[in-house]
Order: sequence, then C-alpha cells, then structure tokens
Amino acid sequence: MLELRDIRKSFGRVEALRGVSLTLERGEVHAVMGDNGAGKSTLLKIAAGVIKPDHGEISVEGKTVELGSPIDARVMGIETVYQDLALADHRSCVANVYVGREVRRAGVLGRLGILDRGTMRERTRAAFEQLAVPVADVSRPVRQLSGGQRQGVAIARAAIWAKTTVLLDEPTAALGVRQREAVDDLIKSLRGRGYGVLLISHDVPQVLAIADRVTVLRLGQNAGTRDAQDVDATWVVTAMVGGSL
Amino acid sequence: MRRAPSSGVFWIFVVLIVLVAAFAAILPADTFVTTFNAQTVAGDASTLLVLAAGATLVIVSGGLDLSIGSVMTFSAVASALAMKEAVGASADHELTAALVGLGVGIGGGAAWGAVNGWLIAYARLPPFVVTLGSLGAALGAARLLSGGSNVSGTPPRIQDEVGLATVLGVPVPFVIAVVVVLACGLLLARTRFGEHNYLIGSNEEAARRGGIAIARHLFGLYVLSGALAGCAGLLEVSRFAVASVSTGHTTELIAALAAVVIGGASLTGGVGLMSATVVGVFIPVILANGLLIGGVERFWQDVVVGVILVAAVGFDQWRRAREAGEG
Repeated sequence: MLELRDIRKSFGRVEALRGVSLTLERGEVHAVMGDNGAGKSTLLKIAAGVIKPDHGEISVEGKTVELGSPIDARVMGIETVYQDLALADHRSCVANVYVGREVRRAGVLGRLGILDRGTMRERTRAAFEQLAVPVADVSRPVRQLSGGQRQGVAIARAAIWAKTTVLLDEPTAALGVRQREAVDDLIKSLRGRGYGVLLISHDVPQVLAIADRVTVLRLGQNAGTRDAQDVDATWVVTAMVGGSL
Repeated sequence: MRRAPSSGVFWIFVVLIVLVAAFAAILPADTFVTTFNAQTVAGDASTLLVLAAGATLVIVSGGLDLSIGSVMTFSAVASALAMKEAVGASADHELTAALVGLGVGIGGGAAWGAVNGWLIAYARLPPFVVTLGSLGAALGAARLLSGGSNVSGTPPRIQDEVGLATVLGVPVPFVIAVVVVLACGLLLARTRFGEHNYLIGSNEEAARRGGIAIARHLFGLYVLSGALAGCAGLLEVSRFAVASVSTGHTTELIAALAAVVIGGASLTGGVGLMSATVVGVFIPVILANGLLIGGVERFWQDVVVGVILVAAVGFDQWRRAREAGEG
C-alpha cells in the first residue's frame, strides 16, 4: 500500500540513505530498526513529506506520488507521530487533535470563523474511548498529562486523521514500563483497525512483541527484512551492528 | 490543585477592588468616588483597553508589539491633519472629515502593522527588534508630518459628539473601547484565528506541522495590532481634540503590556485571556487616577507603571517556576 523504492538522501557529504526499499501493507506493523545514524529517522521524514529524497520513488496504493510537504502526505492519508510529539502544551487534548483542521459552526457563524467546540470535544472523546487512550477529560491541557498520556494523544490524533498509514517515530523511547505497554496496545489497535503502521524503534523486545515485519537499516542501507516471528533479538542486533547473518 | 485560568481573573479583580477601596478611604470624600471621576477613569481606560486588546492577541501568539504607542501617535497626527484638510473652510464637511479621519487613522495604523507583520512573518526577523525599530520610525514619521508640534484644530463636533459625549452617563470612547474589546475577545476565544493564535504561541512547530499557515496568520495579527493602535489614536484625538507628538505614548505602551501580563498572559506565548486583560487595564488606570487626585506629581505615574510591568512579569515567572516545580 505504501511503497518506498530505492530511496537515496545525502546531507552534504553524508549519505544518510543509500538506496533503501520498503513496503507497508494494510493492517501491518512494520518496524524499522537500526543504530544511531542508520538512516531510520530520515526514512520516516521522507515518508512523512518533511524531507524530499534525492532519488527514488514513493507510491501510495500503487500510484507514484510526490510528497513535497507534510500536508501532501496528509492528503495521501499518511499521518505522522514525531518523536517530540508536536503537541501544544497549553492547549487541550481537543485543540491538539484538531490543530489546523478545526471544525467550524454551520452557517454564517462558521463563515466568520466561529468554532464548533462541542462537536470537536465529542468526536475527540469518542475517538479516545474507541482507541482506549488513557485520558478521561479531553478538555485538560496537554501539559497536565503524563508522558504516556501525551503519547496517547499524539497517536490518537494520527489515528483519527490517517486514512491508510500511521508513521511512528520512537513512540516509547521516553516512557516507563507500564506506559510503554499502553502505547503498545494502542499500536496494536491501530493495526486491528486496518492501518499500516511504520514503527521506528530502538527497542528490540517491543518490536519483536508487536511488529509483523522488521527491517533493519545499517549505514543507510537495508540490512534485511524479515517476518518478526522468524527472528530473535540476536538476529536484529547482529544485523544492526553488521555482523555476519 | 491546579488553578483554572478564570480564578486568576478573580484574584486580579480582588486586587483591583482593594485598590479602589484604599483610594476611596484615603482620598477626600468628594474627589475619588464621584460620577465625574468614574467617567474620567472610563475615558482614560478607553485608549488603554484598545491598545491592550491588541497586545493580548500579539502576546498570546508568543510575539510582541512595542510600536503600538508610536503607531497610536502617528495615527492621531495623520488623522487630525487629514480631518483639518478635509473639513476645509466649510462646516458642512464635518461628517466627511470624520470619515476621512477614521479611514486615515485606522488605515495608517494598519499600514505600520503591515510593515511589522511582513518583517516578522515573512522576513522572519524577531518581533522585539522589528517593533522596536518601528517604535522609533513611527514616532519620527508622526513628528515629520506635524512639523514637530502638536496638531490641534480638528472639527469641534468630533469632540462634542464622540470624545466628550456620553450614552446613559457612559463616555462614548469607553463604549467604543468595550465594543472593540468584546470583538477581540470573541476573536481570541471563539474563532479559528484565535485558536491558531494560541497554538502558534504554545508550540509554533506543532502548529506548522498541523498545517496552519503561520506567516499569513502572523502578518494578519500585526496588521490588526496596528489597526487597533490606530483606533486608540483616534479615541485620543476625539477626547482631547489634539494629537500630541511629545511623548510617543510610551506610558500607554508600558501600561498596556503591564495590563496584559497582570492578566496572566505569558510573554512566552500560548496563555492569556481577554477578560483578564480588561481587569488588568484598570490597575494602572486606577493607580494613576488615585495618585493624581492625591496630588502626587504626574511623572510618578510613569515610574509606577514601569514598576508594575516589571513586578507583574517577575510575579508571573515566579508563579510559573513554582507550577513547573509542582508538575
């Protein structure tokens, strides 16, 4: 459904990606792993439309697309959860879910820009309930939430707007054990709802527990893609550091 | 326990009441608590309310507009000159003159706002630097226009029917200011523009990734701030029938910023309520009024307002640091 073919990207003289190909199907969690500098974040940013590749093709549902900006990616149904979450701390969960896509009232009031906060609040509440996001009061400012709850808000936002694909950049890097489990459950529920999830992660046990396929990047190249059930931590680590497989 | 922002408004209101009660107790009976003085306070508050409404919008976005006092001066001078020109010899042209003055005053303010907005939004220069530059430039331009002296001789009916007129005992400039502030409050609290303003102030990168056109928003915001400063200039001309170029309204600038910060808006953006600013405006206004009636020399006002601004920012920082510590 989402396909990246022979993606290359250099920053100055540093070759971050040297011809990486990867596919993501519906209802699949595809984990991309790799050491620091392996190119996994660059790959995610290319799929998210933040960075343009120097070379290579991206196709969505079989059609080649040009992702010139994050907005282009969104139009293609691709939503991204960045590592920094991109949440406005002072604003409510509702406001964060609807950033740039606010619902206005019907009629003249709407044309004057008046917001329909009731509808936005109800839809957010319903979506949080469906996805089991552990936030009871969606009107609370995001800065009052725990790290896991914040991650939940960011992932739920992506799920609410995504049509096909959710890209996750290190979603559990900063979380404690219990919060990590809640986020893992959220990722599984995205898969259950038919999204393709591209998961950038360092966390080998997490990846083996929830991913369907694992791709390991090393020095900007694909060091192997496997079904997660066919591999173990040793294989992943070996592929990451470049030992013989 | 976290305080809701509205309880912040409550506490400022309490401070205001205490201030009023103190002056009422100290000052001679028939000076402070009189209808006439209430009208004076309302009149004095009117220009400041309009300036502070714009400053609230700008500060919530994480920006700053230091030019509003000078732009107010520029608009007052430009509109006064335009009205004198338009009215000519005949008194029949007073309505035309008033409309010309309105257009020139608000348009002139918006034009300065457009310069600020373009430099901040598109050239990505820091608001502090841009508006400090236009603070100087707009005052210079006002003095060039007027030849360095105050502009008087505006159509007298404007002062009679607007500046000094009352509706049910309420000064017309105050009524105008209330309407402007209500509109700005609705804009901030209820519209997409207002929500974008908060989002940009809270996390500009998040707003950008959410698809908000940041540059376009900021440009419009500074144009609005300039237009509001122009409106404040018009209110001043209507009240005093003279456009003064002597001070550049530095005291008004500082008082407006103080009002916004007293109202609990954060200079780092993302936080602020129009209702709180309104209460905040009356603290410097009442203080100045009470001190004046008490016979304190006028220049102490400037000192007091400056101290209030710094104290309010200091208090705000201390409170935020404490909240961050708790969180």
